[in-house]
Amino acid sequence: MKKLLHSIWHHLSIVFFNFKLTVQSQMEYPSFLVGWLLANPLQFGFGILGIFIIVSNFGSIGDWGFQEITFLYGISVVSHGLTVVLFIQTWNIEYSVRYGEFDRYMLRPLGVFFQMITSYINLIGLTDMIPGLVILIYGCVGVGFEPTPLNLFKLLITILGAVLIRGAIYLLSGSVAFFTKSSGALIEVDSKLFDAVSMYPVSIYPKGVQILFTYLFPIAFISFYSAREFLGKTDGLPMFGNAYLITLLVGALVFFLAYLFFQWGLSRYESSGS
Amino acid sequence: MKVYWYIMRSRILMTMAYRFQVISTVLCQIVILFASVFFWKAAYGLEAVQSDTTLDQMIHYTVLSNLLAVLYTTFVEQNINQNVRQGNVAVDFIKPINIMGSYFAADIGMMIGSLLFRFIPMYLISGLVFGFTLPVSFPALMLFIVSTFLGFVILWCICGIFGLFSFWVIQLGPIGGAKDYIIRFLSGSFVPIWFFPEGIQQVFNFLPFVHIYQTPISIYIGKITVLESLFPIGIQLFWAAVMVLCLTQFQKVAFRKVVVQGG
Repeated sequence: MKKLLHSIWHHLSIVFFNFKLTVQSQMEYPSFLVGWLLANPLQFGFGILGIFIIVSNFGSIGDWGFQEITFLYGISVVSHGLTVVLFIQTWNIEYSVRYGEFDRYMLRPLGVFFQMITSYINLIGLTDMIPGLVILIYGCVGVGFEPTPLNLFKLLITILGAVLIRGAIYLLSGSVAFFTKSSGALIEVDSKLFDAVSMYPVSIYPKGVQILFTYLFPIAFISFYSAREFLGKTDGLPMFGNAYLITLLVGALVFFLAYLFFQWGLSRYESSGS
Repeated sequence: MKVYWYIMRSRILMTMAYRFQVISTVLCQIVILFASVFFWKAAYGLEAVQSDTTLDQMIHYTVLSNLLAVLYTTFVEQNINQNVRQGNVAVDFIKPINIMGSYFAADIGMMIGSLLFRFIPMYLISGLVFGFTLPVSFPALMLFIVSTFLGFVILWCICGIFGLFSFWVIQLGPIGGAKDYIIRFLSGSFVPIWFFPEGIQQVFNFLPFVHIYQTPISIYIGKITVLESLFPIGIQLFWAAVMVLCLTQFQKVAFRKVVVQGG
C-alpha cells in the first residue's frame, strides 16, 4: 500500500515538473499564444456562424434546429480542445520514431507511454476550449439544459468518453509510424473525420456511414449519441442503455486497444540508427 | 522568362514526388466534401424548400468549392517566412530575377501539379458518387477558367502581402491560420454569400473575397448567366489589379527592412 502511494506520488511529481517545463517553454513564444487565441476562436466561430446562416434559411438540418446543433458542436469542440491539451504527443510519435526519441524514454526507469504523454501538456489546446465552452454554454441555454448535478455529471462523463475516443484514435494512427515511419497523413484525415462526424448530427449521413462510424470506427460516440439522448431525439441508429455511459465505455475500450497497439509497435521500434 | 518556366516545371515534378502527401490531402478534402454535401442534403430536407438555389446546384457548388480549394494552395507566405527566418533572403536578393515572380511561378507550378494529381482524381470520385459537375455551357467554362485565375491572383496577393510581414515579425506563426479562416468565410466557400442577409451581401459583393470562390463557381454552375458574369469579372479584374499594385508597393517597403539572420 505504501509502495503504491509512493509510486502514485512519484508519477504525479513528474507530471507536475513536466507541466512546469512545458508552460515555461510555451511562454517563450507569447506571440504564438496570441496567434492561437485569435485563430482558433475564429475557426469555430465561423463554423457555427455558417451553420446559423444555413439554418436561418432552411429552418433546420435534418431534424436538428440551430440550438440543438450548437449543443452538439459545443461538446465536439470542448472534447477536441481537451484532447489537444492531453494527447498532442500522439501526433509526434512519427518524429520520435524517425529521430530515435524513444531511445531516451526507454533508458529511463518509467513507463514509455506515461513519459511520452506527460512530457508535453499542451496549453495551446486551451485556446480551442475557450470558444468550445462559449458555444457549449450557449447551446445548453438554448436547448434548456437543466444544470442539475446529475446532468452536469452526465455531460462530464460524455466529454471524458469523447476525449478518450479521440485520444485513442490519434494514438492508434500515431502508432502506425512504428511500422511505416510516417503517420502525419493519417492524423490529418482523422481530425477531418472527427469534425465531419462530431460537429454535425451523424443522422444526416447514409445508414452505411452511420453504422461504420458507430460500430466499426466509433467516432459517432464523440458527441452524437449523448447529445441526442440529452435532447430526447430519436433520429439515427437505435441505441440501448444510457448513451453517456456507453460513450465512456467505448472510450475506455478503444483507448485500451490503442494502448496495446502502441505497446506492440514499441516492441518493433528499431531506433534511428545514427 | 525561361527561369520562371523552369521554376514552374520543377514544382510540377515536385508534386509528383510526394505521393503519400497527395493521397492524404485528397482524402482529407474528400471527407470535407462528402460531409458538406450531406449537410446540404439534410438542410434541403425531403420537402421542397423555398430557395433560389436548387439542391443540385448547391451540391455542385460544394463539390466545386472543394475542388477549387486544392487548386488554391499557395506557398508564397510560407516561402517568404521561411526565407526570412533562415536568412535565405540574402541569397534571393543576389539572384537576377524578381523574387515575387519566382514565388508566383512556383505556386503556378504547384497549381498545375494539383490539377493533375488532386483535382482530377477528386473530380472523378465525387462525380461517380454525386453525379458529374458539368459547366452549363462552353462560354461559361471559358469564363470560369478566367475567373478562377483572377481569383487565384487575388488570393495569392493577399497571402503574399501577409507573408511580407515576416520582414518585421520574423515568425508569422498561427496568425496565418486566422487569415485563412477569414478568407474562407467571406469568400462563400462553404456558405454562399446569397444566403446571408441582404445588407451584408451588398457589402461582401464589393470586397475582394467573394471573387476568390463564389464568382467562378457561380459562373460554372449557371447561378449567374454568361452576360451577368461580366460585371463580377470586371470587379475581379479591378481587385486583382489593386492587389498586385499593393503587393509590389508593399514589397518595396518590406525589402528595405530586410534583416539577414545568421551567417
